[in-house]
Amino acid sequence: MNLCDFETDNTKSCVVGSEVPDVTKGEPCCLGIDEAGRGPVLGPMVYGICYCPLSGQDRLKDMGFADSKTLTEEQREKLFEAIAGAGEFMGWTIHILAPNAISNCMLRRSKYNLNTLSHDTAIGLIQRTLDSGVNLQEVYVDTVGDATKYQDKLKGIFPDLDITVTPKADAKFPIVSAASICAKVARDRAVKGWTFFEEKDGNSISRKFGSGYPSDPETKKWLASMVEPVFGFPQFVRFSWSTASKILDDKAVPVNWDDEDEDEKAATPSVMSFFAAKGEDPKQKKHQYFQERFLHTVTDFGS
Amino acid sequence: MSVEVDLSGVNGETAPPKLHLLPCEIEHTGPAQVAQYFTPSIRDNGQGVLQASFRGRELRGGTVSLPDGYTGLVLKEKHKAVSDEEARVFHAGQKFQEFTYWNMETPPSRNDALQKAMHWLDISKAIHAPVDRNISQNGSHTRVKLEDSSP
Repeated sequence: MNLCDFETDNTKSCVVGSEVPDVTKGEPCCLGIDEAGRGPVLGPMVYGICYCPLSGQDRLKDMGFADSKTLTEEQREKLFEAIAGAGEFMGWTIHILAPNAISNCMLRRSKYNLNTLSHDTAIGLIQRTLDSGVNLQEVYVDTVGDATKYQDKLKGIFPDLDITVTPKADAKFPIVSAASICAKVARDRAVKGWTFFEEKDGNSISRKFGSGYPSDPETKKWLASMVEPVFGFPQFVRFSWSTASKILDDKAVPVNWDDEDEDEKAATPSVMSFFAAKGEDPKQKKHQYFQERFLHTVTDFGS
Repeated sequence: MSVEVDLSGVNGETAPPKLHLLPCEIEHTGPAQVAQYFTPSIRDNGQGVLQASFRGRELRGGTVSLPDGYTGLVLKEKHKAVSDEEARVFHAGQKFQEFTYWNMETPPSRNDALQKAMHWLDISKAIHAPVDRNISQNGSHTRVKLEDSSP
């Protein structure tokens, strides 16, 4: 697993994958999808897929896949080596969603939530696999949100595939376990090898951030100690998590965005306002040309 | 109350400051770790559009050059005037000829208020320039040629 594209620029998301085994272009295949690092307030979220011929189910079981969360890091690394070693038979792809990309998406003006982001990433990975010539037939997905709705959405996009969306898919289907291992290994490596671009000119950043889960006291302590009054946090932090934004509300300087009070401005004016005298003399009003450009005549500097 | 601008400290020798105009109000006046937290996050998409993030929000930006004949100055008011009679004194430090302005999510365009506002300088110059009397006495319309200086 070569993460150097992501390590070169960890502000952007990135897709990394194995070669497509020839056998998967001929024989009908199954594909599993799982994610790692959804809950943490730190680091990337990783989507992983793994695929192999349907005829290889027994070989897959023999490799000893299980839910990546029940395995130790060492066991996961070993299993990933087994996946990589079975390159003539199974292929994998991971999509690393940079923490900055997650923050950007979730804090967009038109709201784009984490579930939609997850769904779109999964759809992108299925499409990519189809485009690479893999003869996909069955797809198994660990659910994000409501399983039935998610399954209907995927079936609507890929009507020719046999799609199963279910909770705990990684424990039920070995191909999903394999995908979860790819995702988790990539997430662990990305977090471990994280380059803080903020670390320059004597600005040092502690690596004692704990598990990254909002409930971890070490993570909370690290977040609180990391606050830069103007910029907030390093981009390793997901600003869109309430754990992070609450700390900024307390410890960083307030920042007001133009769109934050848009709702108030757009509100329908009270009916009484049509009868009341207007506060401004229309003759005193600047021409529209100046209003649109926010140009004002001034005689003093602001305080 | 009078206002004085002290130009004695203007230094043309030092590297020009890198200025960013953000689409938000930061309730802070003073130093910030721009070189550590902001500058390294800026990416160029190759088509003149810059991308960066501030507090997790996506910014798209571009560089604006000041028109010919204009110089930008960074002013600092070292001491606040205590009474209305006292003059406010601003010290000019560094000069600049360009700055980066940032929009929320949308790439910079000629419809942005800032780019449109810069045109006012040309228009203002044209409409305030002396009119050639001979032409107006001939009864023909005075024409003012406006040149759009934006790229």
